[in-house]
Amino acid sequence: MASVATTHAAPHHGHADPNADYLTATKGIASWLTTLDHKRIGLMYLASVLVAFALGGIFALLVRLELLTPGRTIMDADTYNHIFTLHGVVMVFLFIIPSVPAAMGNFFLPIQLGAKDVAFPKLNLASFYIYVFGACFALWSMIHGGVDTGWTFYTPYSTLTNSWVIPMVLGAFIMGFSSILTGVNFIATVHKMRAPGMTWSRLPLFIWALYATSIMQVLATPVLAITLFLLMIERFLGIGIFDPKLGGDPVLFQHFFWFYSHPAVYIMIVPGMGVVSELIATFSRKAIVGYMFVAISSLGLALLGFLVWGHHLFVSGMSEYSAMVFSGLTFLVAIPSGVKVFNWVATLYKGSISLASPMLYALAFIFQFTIGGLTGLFLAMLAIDIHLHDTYFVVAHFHYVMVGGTVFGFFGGLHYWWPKMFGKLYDEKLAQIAFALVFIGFNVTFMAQFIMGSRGMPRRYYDYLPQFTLYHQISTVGSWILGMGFLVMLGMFIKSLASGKKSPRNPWGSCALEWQVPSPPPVTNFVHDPVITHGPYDYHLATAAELAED
Amino acid sequence: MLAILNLDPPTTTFQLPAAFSAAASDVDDIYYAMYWFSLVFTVVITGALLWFIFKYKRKVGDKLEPPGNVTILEITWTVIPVLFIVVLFHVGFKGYVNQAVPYENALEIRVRGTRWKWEFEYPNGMRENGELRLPVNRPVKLILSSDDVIHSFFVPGLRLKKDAVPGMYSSLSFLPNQTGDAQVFCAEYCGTSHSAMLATIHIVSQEAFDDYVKAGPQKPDGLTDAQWGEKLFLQNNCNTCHSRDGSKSPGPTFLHLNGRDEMMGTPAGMSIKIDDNYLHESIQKPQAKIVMGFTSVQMPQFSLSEKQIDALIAYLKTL
Repeated sequence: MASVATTHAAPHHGHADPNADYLTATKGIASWLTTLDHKRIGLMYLASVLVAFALGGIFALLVRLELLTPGRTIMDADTYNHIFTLHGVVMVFLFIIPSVPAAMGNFFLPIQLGAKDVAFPKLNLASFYIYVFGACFALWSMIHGGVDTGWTFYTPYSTLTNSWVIPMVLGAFIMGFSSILTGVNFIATVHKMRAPGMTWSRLPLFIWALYATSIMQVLATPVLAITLFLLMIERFLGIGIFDPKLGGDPVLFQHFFWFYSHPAVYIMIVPGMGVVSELIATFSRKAIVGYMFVAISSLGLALLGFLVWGHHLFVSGMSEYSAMVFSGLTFLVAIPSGVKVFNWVATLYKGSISLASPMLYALAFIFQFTIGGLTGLFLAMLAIDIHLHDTYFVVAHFHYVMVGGTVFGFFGGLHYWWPKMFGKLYDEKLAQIAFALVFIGFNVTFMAQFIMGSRGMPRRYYDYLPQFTLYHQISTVGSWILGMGFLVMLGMFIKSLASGKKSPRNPWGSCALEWQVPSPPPVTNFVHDPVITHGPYDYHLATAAELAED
Repeated sequence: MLAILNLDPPTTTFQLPAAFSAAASDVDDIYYAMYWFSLVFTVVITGALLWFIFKYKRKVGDKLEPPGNVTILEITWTVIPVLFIVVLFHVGFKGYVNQAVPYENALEIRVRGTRWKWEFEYPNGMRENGELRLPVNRPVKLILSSDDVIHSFFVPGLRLKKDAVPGMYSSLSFLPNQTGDAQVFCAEYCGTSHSAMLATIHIVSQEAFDDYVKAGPQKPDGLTDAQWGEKLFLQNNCNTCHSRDGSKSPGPTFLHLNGRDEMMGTPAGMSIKIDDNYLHESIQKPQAKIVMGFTSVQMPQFSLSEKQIDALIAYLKTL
């Protein structure tokens, strides 16, 4: 890495300067919409997923507001059923699946590998447009009243309801292809585009996480496509596949659906773990302890992700022996998850720790993922799961993993890489205020849900018994604090774009490769082809020039 | 179970509702063992994290440490959790099998889930919606099915849950060991009134149970017909489809029902003035005459005695 020069070569006359920064090298809307630059595609994804996150967040706030009081608060039952479904669909398919891989992965995977771009830049742009096309179908469905099936589309409900299931399912089906193509692209890029000296044992853990995620995307997403396709066939042609009235089997749908959707939750969390590894290393100025174990644990999670779908069916009438096998396999997930947590905490030991805002998100991730993981063990334990299944305990568990984990990882990454992506610094004080609100708001919202869940409150309930009122109200107030935190964060980032100070090359003093290129990076990422001489976390080998700000 | 650890929480605790069976109390022991395990683990991890960020806060001139050789550490924190999860898996599976094995000579009750009510059928053929009476200290087997979409029969007080799936039977087996009322929820999302698909299990003495099953549901002392009708209206979950305040609902609203003129969708074009005979027919044969605009909704059959129907009609006329 020492050989990465930061001086600019003389620009050629008459052509866009390859060393000009990627944001200003070419101008105009068309230059963005037709760009093959992975960084610009990454930013377009970033803008799209942030819009989706805002939309899904508004739906979440509406759900919580309705649950402020038993009975009707602001909407009727059918509206509520649509809103919670849209919250799930938007957050899962439009936001969280593409969030870290497609937005930050696109931007940083090639740079971290020392490459000029991904292996197939045109395919990369195509993935983005397929995502947009799929999102349009989802929007079309929403504008016409949306769906009321829950994001899981369980049959026979989803074949009987007269809401707009088909366009929504078609949207998810199309977005699946975007996910597959991005996965293929990343796998090829990791294999073929590494700079000289970028050995597998020097790959950043973010890359390992994206690599594991890509494998899951390529292998699991086709099953979702097949399942949703069968659902459409059943609705259109009346061929009995899942509907018992037509001779189908409704539980078969659940098997198919979770065969994708369980790996999908690992598609969501593993990239977040990759971000956290980067953050812990940079802000402790220390190599991640047990690097290879952490890397392999991502692949371990990817593998186990395929073997545990059955735990979603423990009360669906599955045989006791199947339940036993799926319970045992689900417990195994704790091992690679634990390996990551232990190694992150061990990395802090004898580090040089800075508590800048990205690090705060990483530390909160560790705390919340630990809770999310351990409550997952409650649900893996058959005896307890029978009671907790489909209650708010499950809602709280997966929000601790998906929000407390992935969303915190995503925003930690956004704070971390923001100066590199936009070349601007942000107001650290505001960032920390936003963090405090998000952290407190999140934990208040979902801690209350664990308790009402174990006390028996079922999920997806418009109305509830008076004994649950207090917990619902605590949770709703938490959602307001959380929402406020995100508003402060939004203001902070807008302020940075409008009037942020110019960021130096390496504001965090990191020795990772992406911090050795200018902020924002030039079109070709590297002014001279990089030669990698040490790993991304080898602070003891880094030169003073690498760790310097400029 | 786990008695050696002396973890015997009272039946109602902060995290769990009152338990109505010994097996449910066993589940609670497992739950609390898991809870304390998790709490200790979280405190240790978070404590270490906070200690390190305090102790190794960045200072000028920090020496940047190379990564040490940690293979032994890695093996340790892989193997020890494996041992833990083997124990947890074993305990969890044992508790599950304990609840899953059906009792011999159990009292068999048929349970049918329909949007949006639970119907119970006793061995003598008597049927009732929304309320089930069971004798204490006698094993019970519920045989579940669904008439439309998937429902899930959830009794927090028994720590039991099972999906009612259209096209197949599933069952739940338990031995209630104390009297009282256990709440029943539908736990699998089933549409508009999913959250109102509730029922109550009254666990009563054997004598009270025998009397009830023999005589069938009777008007409670001191209630007028209309008052009993209101109880039946709620117990049978009529409110999940018919609003009483004129607001939109899956079925026609019951506000100002009596004497109203309605156009029928089935048979099409027929006009009817709503009276006792129409109401009686509609309760017994819901598909006979359906108000226009509601023909796509399938009202389920209700098995009610003549006395109950009289009481219901008396109540409906007060709205």
